[in-house]
Amino acid sequence: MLKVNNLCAGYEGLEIDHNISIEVGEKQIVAIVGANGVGKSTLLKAITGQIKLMGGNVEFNGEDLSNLPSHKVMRKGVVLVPEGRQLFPMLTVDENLNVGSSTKENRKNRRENKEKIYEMFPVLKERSKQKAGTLSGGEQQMVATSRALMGNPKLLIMDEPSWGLAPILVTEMFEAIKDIRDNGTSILIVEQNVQKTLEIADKAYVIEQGTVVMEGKGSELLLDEDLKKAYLGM
Amino acid sequence: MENTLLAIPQGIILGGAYGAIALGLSVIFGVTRVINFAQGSMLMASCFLYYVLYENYGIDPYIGIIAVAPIMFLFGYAVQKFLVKPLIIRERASVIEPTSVMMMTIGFDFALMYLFMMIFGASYRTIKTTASGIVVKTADGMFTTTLSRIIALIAGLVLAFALWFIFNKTELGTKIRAVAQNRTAAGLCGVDVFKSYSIAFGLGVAALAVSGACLLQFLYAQPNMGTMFGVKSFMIVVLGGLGSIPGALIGGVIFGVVETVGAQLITGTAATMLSFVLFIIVLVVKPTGLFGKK
Ligand SMILES: Nc1ncnc2c1ncn2[C@@H]1O[C@H](COP(=O)(O)OP(=O)(O)OP(=O)(O)O)[C@@H](O)[C@H]1O
Ligand SMILES: [Mg+2]
Repeated sequence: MLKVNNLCAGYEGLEIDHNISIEVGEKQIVAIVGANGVGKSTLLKAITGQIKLMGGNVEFNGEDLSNLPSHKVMRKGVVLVPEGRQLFPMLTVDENLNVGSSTKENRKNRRENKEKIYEMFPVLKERSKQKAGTLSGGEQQMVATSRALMGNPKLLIMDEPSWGLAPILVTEMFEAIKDIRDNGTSILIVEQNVQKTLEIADKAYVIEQGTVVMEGKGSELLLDEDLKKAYLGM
Repeated sequence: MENTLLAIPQGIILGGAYGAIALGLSVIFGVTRVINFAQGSMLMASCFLYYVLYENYGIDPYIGIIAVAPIMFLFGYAVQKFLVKPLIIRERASVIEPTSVMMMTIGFDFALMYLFMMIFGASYRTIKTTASGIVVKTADGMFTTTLSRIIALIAGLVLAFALWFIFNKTELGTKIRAVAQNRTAAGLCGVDVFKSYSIAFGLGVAALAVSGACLLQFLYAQPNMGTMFGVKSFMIVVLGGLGSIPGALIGGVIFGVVETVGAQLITGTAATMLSFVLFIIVLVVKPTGLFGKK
């Protein structure tokens, strides 16, 4: 459903990502792994209209998304959970979820979506009237994911969802990701937790210095000797 | 001594009017981080619209609000959409408060002022309305003012409440606050960031138009009138805390009281100077203003 073809992107004339091509299919979890600073978030920013493309294009279900502003990309069903959560700190949890579902289409099933989310993350129900900025890191990550889910994504893109979470919460987060996929949403995920990510990924891309250097099934990459050495410390 | 005490309610009433003007500036800044230096001339423009409506059709400015506030809303909306937005996009790379926007609003202020000078000339124009003719007294007859001034104070309060309600109790307001807090994230949530900016800009200018209707009842319309109000409302907003709605109103009242009471104790000129000194002190001691956060 998502096809990124030879995408180039960067900042103020400095190209970070070079000719990246990736593909995400229906009901798939696709992972992008790579060391710090290789351009993973830059790629996601380019897909979601936060920065201009320097080359290539982005296609979603046959439609060209290249260089659309963020809100239009979102309205096509491509929703990002950004790196570092990016909540609205002075809005309550409930208001954060409302902003996530503020388009005309998404307002229609806002209530049902909230019910589902409170089932998945019961603690958010207790916190619903609390300002998002006062939540713990784990709770904030739940709000960030929930806010994106409120937008009825066809493709959910997650940038380091396990960042800053306690080990037990990381396990829960990966369970939640599988649930989301099983409910019919495709997922493109960037993660530092390479082991856990490759375990759930149907497909994965390894990025080094802004280019894809390896791709394959998650389970296959897990067995790859070079990759083990580089990212799993084995 | 008595005169000094009587100057306090006078100052509060004047301050309410000041505060109402400052509200527009505060709302626009709170959302877009743009300081609209064309605030004064936009107020002036709305006063002239009321003046024209009154002179040609005998429409009292209070009634004229029905037409002028929406016109000024669209005017503010368009200014942001066609002038502010392109500049923000151009500077977007790193800055959040683009300096080119600030300079543009200063230029716009002068352009508007000279446009009205061209059309209406520099003379002072006043109108005689019903409300300005009604004198209001306390029972002992010590304190007198006009109904129009009391209405101006009430209008300031109503305006502040209305804006607070829009921003805090409506879906539109929640979206606009989200944009103000994190515009990248708001865009990722499907919120059209620049449309929210335009609406906030429009609301700020429409709020000015409401103040204009109250002011013209006891002041004059003149192309230069905006300069003084523009500078004062800027100081009031800094005093109260940029972006704070109650801050704008309370800042206005503090200013009004300092001016009128100061004029009783010392001289008008000294009092005005005092209010500028107060502004500088607050800016140095508490840069976020009395009610500003962060
Ligand atoms: N706004 C920006 N302006 C200029 N350069 C940037 C900006 N954001 C990121 N960069 C640079 O782009 C490069 C890639 O950054 P990016 O955030 O895409 O890395 P990443 O792969 O997501 O890393 P991490 O795993 O640490 O999140 C880095 O060298 C970074 O310094
Ligand atoms: Mg990153």
